[in-house]
Amino acid sequence: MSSGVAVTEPATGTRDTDVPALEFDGLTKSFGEHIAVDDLTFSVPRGSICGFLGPNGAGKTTTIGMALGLVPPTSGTARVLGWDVRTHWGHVLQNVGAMVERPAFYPYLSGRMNLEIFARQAGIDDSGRINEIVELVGMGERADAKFGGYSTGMKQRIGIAAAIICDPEVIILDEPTSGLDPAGQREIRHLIRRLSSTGHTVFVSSHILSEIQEVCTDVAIIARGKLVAHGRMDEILAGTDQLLIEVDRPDEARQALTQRSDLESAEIENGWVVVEAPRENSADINRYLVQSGFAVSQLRHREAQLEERFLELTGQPSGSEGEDG
Amino acid sequence: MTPLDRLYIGELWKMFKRPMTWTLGIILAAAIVLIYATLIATLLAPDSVGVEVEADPAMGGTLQESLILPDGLYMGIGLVQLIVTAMVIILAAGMVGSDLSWGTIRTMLMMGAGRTPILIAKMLALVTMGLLGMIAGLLLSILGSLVTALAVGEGIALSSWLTIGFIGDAVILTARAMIGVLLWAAVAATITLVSRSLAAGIGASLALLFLGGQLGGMLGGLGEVGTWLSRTLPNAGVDALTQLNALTPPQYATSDWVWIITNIIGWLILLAIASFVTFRRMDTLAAGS
Repeated sequence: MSSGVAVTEPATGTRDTDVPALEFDGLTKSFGEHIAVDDLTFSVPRGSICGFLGPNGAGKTTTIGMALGLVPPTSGTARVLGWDVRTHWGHVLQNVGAMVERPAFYPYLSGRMNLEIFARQAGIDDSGRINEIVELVGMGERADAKFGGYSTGMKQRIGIAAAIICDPEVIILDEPTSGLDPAGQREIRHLIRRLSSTGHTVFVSSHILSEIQEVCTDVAIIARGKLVAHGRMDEILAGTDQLLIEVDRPDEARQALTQRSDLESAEIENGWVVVEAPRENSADINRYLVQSGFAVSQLRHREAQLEERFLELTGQPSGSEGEDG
Repeated sequence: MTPLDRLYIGELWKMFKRPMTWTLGIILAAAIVLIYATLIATLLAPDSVGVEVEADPAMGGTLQESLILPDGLYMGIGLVQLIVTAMVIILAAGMVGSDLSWGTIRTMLMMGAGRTPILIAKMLALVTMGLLGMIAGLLLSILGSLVTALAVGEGIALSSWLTIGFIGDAVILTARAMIGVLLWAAVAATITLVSRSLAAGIGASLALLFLGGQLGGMLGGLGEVGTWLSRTLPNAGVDALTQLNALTPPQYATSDWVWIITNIIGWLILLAIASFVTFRRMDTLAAGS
């Protein structure tokens, strides 16, 4: 942690694979009295797909802005591939592609021309590469239409195309599937996996938690500017698997289950008994209930959901009242 | 090719592709054609227009002499400079203001462009566009002078005006005019950047361009202190320089040159500092959001 803006040199250069793709150390951003990002410290391993979650106004976009040098931090350090963003901004942006907030391009130019102009600015003057990227994001047929006339989803695709056109090692995507239809969302998920499989690190913020759970290997969750959870997805979700049991006398069954020392809690949801337990305990619990004289008509496993974990970690009320059967 | 070269070419390319640039170009051409058409009509039918066409000391001769080459060059430059300056103000504010409002400044930064090179590239592109506008406008005004000569039966008589001296004068007059264009581009770009408002950039710059002279005159009426105050206005230096583009230019003393040069360079430095400091500290994430 640092109380001031640390100026550090990358110890071993950006090609050292031990160096995290992204590293935040005591990163803080205040807007007057309001602290948007508060002492954020975590890192994103190279080659991972890291989901970045938080409620609206949690500080996700500000954090991304600081990682890209678009927003100066009040204190702390953001490093990309070992480079301090504030002191080695040029190196950082040579290795990072990003789409932040809504995609911003010239409305009077076509999608292709926009990509050409920004690619040339970055030193890429290869129409073959632009064609390849345009096809990759599914804009082959509409790339020559004016950007100003695009739908939100099309603009999003051009934004993603610009982020990956220079083939950067680290790709930062802020709500990449916003405005896309389900098929488009699936394409982007495939694209993210494909980028990861070719050695890219993808740092992606999204409000679609199922999407993050499906595609990400790691996750970082912030609330009110503070980090509330960070780690591998399976670690974050560990211990939150549930068994749903349909039984003839649910209240009595719940009481019987709470006698077991291996179960932390048992609750009733819409007539179902819900216990937190891993899938492998299902047969044992079933046997226990039957031997205790209950008639078990259904017993099924409910996988840990990131949404529930997210709501729990961020202290937000859950909208659902349990299993609907 | 350096990153600055790439940015500069990119800025030029964007301006050429932008409909606003061509609209302004058409307005420039139309304004020059309209003004020359009106002046020619005045010469051919002075009674119906009711305009004095005889000798005017400010013009150094009759209206006809002021319009026909070689003297017509001076009127042409003055006319074109005013229109081009107004257009460069609109272009400069549009260039900076649009990048802020569309959020494209964020995309430029994310694609690795540095903040200082972005500003330098934009200014270079604006000056290039201003120069192209000046050259195109000057050629149109020369054409206007030739049409005037034909209309009044003087004939073109190329050898009487198309000399090395004429071309040299055209280059010097254009260079002086371009200093004004550069300063006004910087004024418009800086006001737009600092205020983050395209409307403020255009409005305040045009107000200074057209009303700065009057304000200077009013301050000048307050005596010695007022005169010196008027010389601190951003338009004062370039206005004094532009007066040298008249057919009968004023003779400046060394002390005049000192304040003129100090004014122009001082304002350029001040505007550059304001732009760079504002842009470097700007939260560009908020741009276009």
